Amino acid sequence: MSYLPILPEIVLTAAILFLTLVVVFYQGENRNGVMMTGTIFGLSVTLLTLAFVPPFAGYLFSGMLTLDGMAFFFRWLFPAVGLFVAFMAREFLEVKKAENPGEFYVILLLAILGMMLMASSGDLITIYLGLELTSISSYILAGYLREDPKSGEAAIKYFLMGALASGVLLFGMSLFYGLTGATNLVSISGILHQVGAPPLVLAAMVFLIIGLGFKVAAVPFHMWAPDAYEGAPTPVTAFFSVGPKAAAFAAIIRVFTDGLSSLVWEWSLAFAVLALITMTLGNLTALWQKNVKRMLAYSSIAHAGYIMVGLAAGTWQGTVAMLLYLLAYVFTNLGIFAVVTALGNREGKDELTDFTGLSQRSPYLAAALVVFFLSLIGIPFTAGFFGKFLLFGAAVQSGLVWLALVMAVNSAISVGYYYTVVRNMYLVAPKNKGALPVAGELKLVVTVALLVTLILGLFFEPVLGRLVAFTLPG
Amino acid sequence: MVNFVDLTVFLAIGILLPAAMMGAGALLRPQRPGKVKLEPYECGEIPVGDARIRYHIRYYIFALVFVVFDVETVFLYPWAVIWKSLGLFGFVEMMIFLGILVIGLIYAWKKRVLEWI
Repeated sequence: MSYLPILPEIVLTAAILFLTLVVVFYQGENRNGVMMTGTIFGLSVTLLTLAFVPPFAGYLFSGMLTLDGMAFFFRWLFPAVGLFVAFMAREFLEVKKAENPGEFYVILLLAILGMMLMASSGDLITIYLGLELTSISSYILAGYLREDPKSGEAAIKYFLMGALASGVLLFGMSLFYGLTGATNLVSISGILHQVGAPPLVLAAMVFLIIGLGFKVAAVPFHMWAPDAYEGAPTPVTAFFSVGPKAAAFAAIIRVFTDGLSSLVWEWSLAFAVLALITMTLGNLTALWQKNVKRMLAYSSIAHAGYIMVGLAAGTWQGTVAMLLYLLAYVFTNLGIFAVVTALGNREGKDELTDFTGLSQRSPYLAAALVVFFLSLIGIPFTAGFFGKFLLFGAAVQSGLVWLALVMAVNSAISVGYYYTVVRNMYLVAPKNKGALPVAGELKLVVTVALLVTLILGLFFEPVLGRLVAFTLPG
Repeated sequence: MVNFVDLTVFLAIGILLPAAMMGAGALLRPQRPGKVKLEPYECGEIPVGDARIRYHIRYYIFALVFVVFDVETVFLYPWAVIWKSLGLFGFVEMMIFLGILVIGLIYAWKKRVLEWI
């Protein structure tokens, strides 16, 4: 038994334990900054370890973990997300006078550990373990501003819906265990190839789709998302819209393409229908929102719909497209939320009208936001374009031309609500005059997100090549 | 696929047996209903007040810390039983597990969770 391949996770765990002690033993005035530095150091060491640990592909701990290209992709992505969120959190916690700023970072790191575990799990048990570690940390983060009733509302709604989803998911998992006598995804896959698709297996599969559908906020199961996103602290909203969502997609890819590969016809149809209603309803509802966080919540629901097109394709091209789309979406969305955080720290309300005249108050942030929106719409030469392009191609290859067309129409609809923000920034006179003071680390986050969005858009081929090499079957 | 016939037989016995026992009791015993018989049983004490009272929120934290140690015992017990066959590896692994829990305890202690204010 070798622990070397999971050294990054061990390093992250050690950082979490150490920072837990720092929280209680360091009582200085600048503990918020100290904790942020510690978190960034811990995550950076985790990423460095990941880069230098000798590559390993295969199963660990009697099949509990699957370390393959996809696991490597997500284990690299999630600490990077953590870096962004930690940078965004410091000023926010200071402005909102959060009671215990230190614990925020520890809980964030715990969520990231759970997400990494989820992406590299090879067993229903480890998927559930990672999911709960992520979810429980997320509930706490959602309610982090104890004095703010909206934050409490977000936490309680997220918690109740999340607990329900976990229950449904566990029920599906227990049915699979009862039917196949195994929790290992490879064993389940082998047994299912022999027995075909009896009705009970399909019922169990539906439970898994519903449970994981809640976690990615696919449409019939999305009710919690707008309230949770609006009420949660803005850096946490940024985290929710990319982190747990991407991790849930990783779990979906694991369960459905690894475990239920013999039922691909059945589940790809289910995901095609889910993708259709998710993106349409998400985009249409986003048009009516007044609060920017709520609008972005519906936008992120719509994007979950786009990503599910890759599942509907049911091929490895679909999986590659999903991963590239997630990569583009994650960094673009983090950039958008960094701008929203910077604005919210000064204006405090996160209304769409707060954006008026941002092009005069902070030309850089306004321009960056335009690029991020272009990327989310899928305009060429931004990261989002190639993600959408690949999803489109995967759908057409699998004969889902109708779904590809719906996706194109939806991208056009989404221009509507992004344009509202752009118009407010460039064409409407500012409500509050004067330059917007922006913290240095928020500028850094916006710049890095901008660079990733543009570089991925211009030079996507090497990234795509590596992703293809990662996920190529066999 | 497991054979579910045995399970169905168990289920049928499980439903029929208590029904038969309670039905037989209802037929055989003398019927003398009274107010005392309907009172909740509190080990012979006369019940006082309502069961739905507000507890102090601190009990919740204590319960939480208690659960940590409870689970710790659940893991420690089987470990202790096969301690010899696990060797040094098992010892080190359990010490790491205990170390993580101790950090949790230190955190709770420093946050003054264990004091009753």
